[in-house]
Amino acid sequence: MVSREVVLLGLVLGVLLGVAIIYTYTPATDFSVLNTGPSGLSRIASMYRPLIALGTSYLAGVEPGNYAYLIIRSGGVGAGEVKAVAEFLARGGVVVASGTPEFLNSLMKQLSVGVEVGEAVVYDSIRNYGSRFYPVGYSPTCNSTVVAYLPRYVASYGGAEVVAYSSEFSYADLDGDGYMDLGEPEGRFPLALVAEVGGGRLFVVTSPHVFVNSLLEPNLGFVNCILSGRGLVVDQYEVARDPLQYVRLAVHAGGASEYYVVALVAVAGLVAYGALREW
Amino acid sequence: MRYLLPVVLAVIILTSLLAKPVEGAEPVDCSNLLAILEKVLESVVSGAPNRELVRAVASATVPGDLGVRHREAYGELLKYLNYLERVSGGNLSSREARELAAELSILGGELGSSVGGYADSLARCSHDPALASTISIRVKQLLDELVGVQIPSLIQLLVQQASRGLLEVGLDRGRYRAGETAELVVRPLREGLEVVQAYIALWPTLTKVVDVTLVRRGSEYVGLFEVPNLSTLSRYYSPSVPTAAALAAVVELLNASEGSTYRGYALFSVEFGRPGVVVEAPATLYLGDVLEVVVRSDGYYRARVGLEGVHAVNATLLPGANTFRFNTSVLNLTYGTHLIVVEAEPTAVTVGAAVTKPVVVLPRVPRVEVRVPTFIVTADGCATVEVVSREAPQTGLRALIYVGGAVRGSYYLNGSLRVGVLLSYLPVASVEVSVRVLAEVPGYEPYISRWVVVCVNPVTSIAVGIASVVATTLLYGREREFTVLVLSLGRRRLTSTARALRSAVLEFTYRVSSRVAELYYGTLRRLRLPMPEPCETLREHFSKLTLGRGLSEMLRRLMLLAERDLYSKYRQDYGEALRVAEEVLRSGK
Repeated sequence: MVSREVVLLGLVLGVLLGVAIIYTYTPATDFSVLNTGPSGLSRIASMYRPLIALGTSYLAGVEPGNYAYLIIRSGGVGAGEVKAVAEFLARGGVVVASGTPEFLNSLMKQLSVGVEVGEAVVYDSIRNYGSRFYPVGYSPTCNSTVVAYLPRYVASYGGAEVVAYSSEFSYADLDGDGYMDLGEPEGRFPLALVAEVGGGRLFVVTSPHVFVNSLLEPNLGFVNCILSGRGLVVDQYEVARDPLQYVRLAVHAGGASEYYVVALVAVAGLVAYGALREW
Repeated sequence: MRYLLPVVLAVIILTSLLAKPVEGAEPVDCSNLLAILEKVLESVVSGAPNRELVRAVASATVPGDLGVRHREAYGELLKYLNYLERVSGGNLSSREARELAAELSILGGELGSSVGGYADSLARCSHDPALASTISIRVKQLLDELVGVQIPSLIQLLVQQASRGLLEVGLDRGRYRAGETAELVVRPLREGLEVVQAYIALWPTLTKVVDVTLVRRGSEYVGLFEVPNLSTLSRYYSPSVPTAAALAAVVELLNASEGSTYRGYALFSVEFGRPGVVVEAPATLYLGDVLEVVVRSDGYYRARVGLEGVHAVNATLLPGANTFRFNTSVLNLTYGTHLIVVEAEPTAVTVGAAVTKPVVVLPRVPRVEVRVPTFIVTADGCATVEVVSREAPQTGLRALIYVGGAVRGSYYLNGSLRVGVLLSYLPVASVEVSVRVLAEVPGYEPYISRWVVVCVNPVTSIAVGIASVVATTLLYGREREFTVLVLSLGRRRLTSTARALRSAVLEFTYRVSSRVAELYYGTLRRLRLPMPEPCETLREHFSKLTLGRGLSEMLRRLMLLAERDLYSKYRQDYGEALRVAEEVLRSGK
């Protein structure tokens, strides 16, 4: 009987420990609402209390007039996902898209928006937020500054309107060597654009770091402006590939409080232990 | 629950390990700052300076020593713009105009050195030598225009303002070349003023260089003089003569009725010829290549051509193209930017000049991309390492993969490589993986990529957990037996280790490799008998021994067993040998 008790106690403690690890685990994944580090979205999550979408299919149940959908991705998107976004836009929603050129170009192409984002990065040695990797731009539409991190160079933007652009001192590093070379363009470059798609508005932000914890404060005016009083839905499809984060995000998306879940598991564990010990 | 805190701490440490390092270039882009300097100077020299633009650039954050130079240079430019505003604002008294002229004279020198020095620093650290070279030339032209022409003109304007109402001193031009003839005109604006003396002086020190004779022509005085040449002025400039000098024609007039003397000035600049030397060289080269430097010259100059601080040769430059070749494999060159320097010595008509051109010496490394995951959850303890060649598929590229400093594999690349590498079977491990890509042709440096991979193995984690639970369950209340078991295993292990060691010593010393022979040798040692020499057989050795009859017989049996165990293809019975050895030892007592 003693050995069985050891096994039971071990199992219960293991479960509790597992739950504790899941809820004390602070991920370093970029653009995760659980990441409290510089590249996370925990600040935007605590300020706007967003809905968490683990895929674009979540948009089907969201009221487009009341919400803006923030989607930051690194890879290309499939036709099914784009269809859900297009439907959301058609119903008058606001979509804020950012991420890698691969993702943005894939989305723009499938939505038939004439914006093409290049791999080249825009630097600014004069108007910056500490170093040239953080160009400080201006949005005349929102009358606010925009601080970006390694924003991408917009090769063409037919049909879209520039919402924010970098300063006259910025330049585009076309060859990707990290430095200015002969023939590389200087001047103002788009940092954010907007296009009318269906009945909705699609914002394209060339640097996803505009929304991260370390840069949210200087960008708050701009973020408020593009959200224009709507609630926020944050896409966490790529973040949820991490199983630990998936569990927490799924709980969050389901509307349950994390503390409630921890308490519930703890009580269940103790009850189970008591019951098994009697048995 | 007492393990909760360490586990949480471990998770936090792992999380910090997972944080990606910020990748990218240096925070300062000298090429870009040089281009901005050119833009600012262009606006200042063009006469339509944008003060806000200059102020914005001046307040930019530039780290390090370069930042100090940046602030100094733009500070001087802002000071100049302030003076410009004061002059164009007008309403300056004679005294203010004189003071402002003096301040501007000083600023001219400081501006030239600080902005020029800053531009040189930027050119040196510039990533793109072609851009740096092009912009540096333009910056130098703009700076010469500003310091050599615009500031002296401004000073002249102020000087005229300072002597307003007494006399006008004028020259036919504002800029001359050395040795040219210039005309000086003095017009007294009041009656009773007589010219006492006129001379050419250095500005602003007013050190007299040469006298000018004036003759009266109607109401004015005129005089012709030869603009001082390089040999005359070189006495006053030490150690080197500038490419342009500010001089003043000074005229002293005496008011005979008042007995007071007045002084008027006319400022002009003298330009000296500069050697027309242009350096052409590749922007980058690999260490070991031959560096070909083409120096285009507009005349005959004695010069030193070479790489700054490394190697230089004396040469005579001829008009046209002069080619110099340096074999970088024999020079003590380091990787990075080096300056090609051509120092032309001064001649009778030109000042000396040093022309530089940066060249970046690169290590020749294979152009490959290495991809290693920084965090893996794996059941077999392996991670997939990818190496992709970024050039056309090269023959002779080899990738060596190290895990924790030990080589895990060596692979040849055929365009790309994708291989699974065993990292660790531990439940959680942080492992350093490094990939060295070697080109099997001479002149290449290895491409090295290092990664820290956090590896989580759920299978072994569960196994360890289960094993812990099973072990705890099994051993509960049986700790003593377990301790005895472990100790006996340890003792057995020690015994077998000692035996192995002894065998190794025997094999090394006597070239024997048999347990029975070992036993025979051990018996000889116990009986304190001489050991066989490596060159003699066991029989030869035995025949030399002097023993009692009984002992001799027993020992002979053991010797024969040992001999057969050594040389026969069948091993002898060790138990029998052991029994014989025990009998020998008993007989020997």
